[in-house]
Amino acid sequence: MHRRSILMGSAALAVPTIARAANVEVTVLYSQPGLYKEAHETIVREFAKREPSITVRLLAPTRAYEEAASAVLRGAVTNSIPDVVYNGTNLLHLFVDRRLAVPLDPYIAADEGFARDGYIPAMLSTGHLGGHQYAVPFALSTPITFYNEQLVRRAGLDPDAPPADWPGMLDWAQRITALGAPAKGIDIKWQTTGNYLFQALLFSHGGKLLSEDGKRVGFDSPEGLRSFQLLREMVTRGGMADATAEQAMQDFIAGNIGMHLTSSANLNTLMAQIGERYTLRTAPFPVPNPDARIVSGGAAATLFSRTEDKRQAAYKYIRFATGPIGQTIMVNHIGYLPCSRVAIETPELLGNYYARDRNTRTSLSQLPRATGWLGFPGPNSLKAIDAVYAAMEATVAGRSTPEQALARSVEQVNALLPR
Amino acid sequence: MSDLALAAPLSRPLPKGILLAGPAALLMLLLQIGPLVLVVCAAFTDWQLGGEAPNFVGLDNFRALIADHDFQASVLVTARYTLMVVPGALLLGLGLAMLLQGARRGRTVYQTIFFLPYIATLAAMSIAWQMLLHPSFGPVNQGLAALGLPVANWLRDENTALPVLALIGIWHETGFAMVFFLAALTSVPTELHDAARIDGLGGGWDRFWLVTAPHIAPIALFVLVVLTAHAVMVFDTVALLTQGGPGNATRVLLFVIYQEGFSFFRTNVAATATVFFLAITLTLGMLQLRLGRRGGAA
Repeated sequence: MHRRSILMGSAALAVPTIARAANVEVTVLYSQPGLYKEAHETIVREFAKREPSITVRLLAPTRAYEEAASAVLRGAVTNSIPDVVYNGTNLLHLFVDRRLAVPLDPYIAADEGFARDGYIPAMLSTGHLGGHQYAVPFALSTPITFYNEQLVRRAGLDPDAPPADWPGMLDWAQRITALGAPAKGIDIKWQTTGNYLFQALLFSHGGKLLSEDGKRVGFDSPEGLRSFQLLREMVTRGGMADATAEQAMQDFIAGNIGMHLTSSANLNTLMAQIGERYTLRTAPFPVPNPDARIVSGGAAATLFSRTEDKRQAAYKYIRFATGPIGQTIMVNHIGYLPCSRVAIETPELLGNYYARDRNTRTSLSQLPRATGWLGFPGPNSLKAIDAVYAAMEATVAGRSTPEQALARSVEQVNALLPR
Repeated sequence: MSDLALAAPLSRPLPKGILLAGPAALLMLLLQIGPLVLVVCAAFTDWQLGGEAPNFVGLDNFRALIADHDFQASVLVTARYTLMVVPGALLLGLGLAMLLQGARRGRTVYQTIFFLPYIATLAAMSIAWQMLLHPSFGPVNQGLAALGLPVANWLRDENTALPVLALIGIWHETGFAMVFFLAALTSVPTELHDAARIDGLGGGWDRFWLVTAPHIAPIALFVLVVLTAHAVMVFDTVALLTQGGPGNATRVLLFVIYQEGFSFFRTNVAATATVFFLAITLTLGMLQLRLGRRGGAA
């Protein structure tokens, strides 16, 4: 057996190689081809060079995480689940509750290279459920603040000192809105799938999604109320419009919105679309205190193979894609957060990338405070997400007060959780 | 032996008949009846896509669905949509048909123009409507603003979203109604109109009510049922333009089924809603069949 050491040797695929069987084929499904296509194809090419006995076949990608999930569930019925699927980390419950996802713990335990590759614990935790590691994060993001330097300056504010907390943020938003139409102070992309920004508000205030026993909601709390209140204050004080996510993004790109709070994953798109129109800056997500938790979510590789030889092969591929080299390829193509400390700190890998552009470092700086993007347990998981979405929508539109929105979402989600 | 000899002539027509009807029947069984039975069965279980073996839960799903606020809202929304689209498309279709019937020239041109929205894919047309209705750079708002009239974010406003979708529905269905009415109007014998005129029924309205209306009534009833079926089955515009929002304002029945099945993965709930939906469409279908027969006879 010849095992080449790859760059620095840190990323060697260190799973003890069992007698090489004939060629094993691993099928892989991912979503959002517009974003991920090149990255995944490059990773598969690089992997093929290093592991010629494993053929990784990328299946026709699905448009969104939910569709990939749907493909997995259909595959369970027709016995054709892909071996590896890049799932939205908040959808993990779906596959764990139905006992489809294969726990990775035994493979990680037998893998000496795992510790060496410096997986960041906070990020690994996004693939952790019920005491097992079911997924390894591939491309994560955290919510950050994007802002329009020129608009901020026009409002007489200092773009080099963005506010770190909510009072400061709302103050900025108010001053920018005061410039008059079409200027709007702030927008938060509350529509993001899986209540991502709601969880950002909730967790950064120290709130919980679920109670300790997981049978009731945990956001029936001052922190939960605060989250809805902030949403409302952004409308009443910060000039946020009741618009669709697309409309708000177009408005921000057009230069009409001062601050746009959304996933750091939008960085590349925003930079490309804003171009020379104005200077795009980024700042950490506003939080009540410096060590507040920041929700982190995105795509994570989940293992579904039914046979042991496929699992072994698929695990090797997962390790490569989420290891230093795979992560370097991923970041260079799409700018999500890598989960490997080795990749971040090695200049030849991503060190230089982060040194080049300050905007890319914002999300990275929040990494140590990352906490998982959570889903609700049980068969009504996604319906519960929709209930919270409806409460946020009603708050933004002014149809409900924050108190009413909280009460209604708490009641609805409680009814949807398994007893 | 004599039994066989007796049976043979009786059974002879069977194989040929089965041979001819077999493929179609098999396909229908496989592609229509089969899935339908599965859906109905799933409505009585806790089965969800990809889940473990289902358990029988009786009427639990039905009870939960009827108590579900979103589902209740969707029934109301679908009813409201239908009540706006059906009369609108019916009357406009009839009006256009009568205008066209009186037209001396360009009849086919207009006929084609009015029928075009019905042939055009509603999905593709929805994108065009989305552009027209965009709150800041859509021509609708720009036009209104130029006239000094109030503008709105049409598809994001609870009060306007459903009426706007209904308008699109009317725009889409009017051509369909018109074609049927045109055919019906052509079948009204001209002698009757002449006779009515001789009898002193000079006014257009009188002649419409006494001569035309009775003739086109069966077709009108048929069109009414078909339009209702179409309206109940609205999905494309909702899925593409509003996703059921804002709030529950445009969450129609079919969209709820889609959401439950493919977004929430609550297969059993989706199946239950489908059973409910099927009951409605089956009733309409049977009505259509019966009216179709009567229309044919008349």
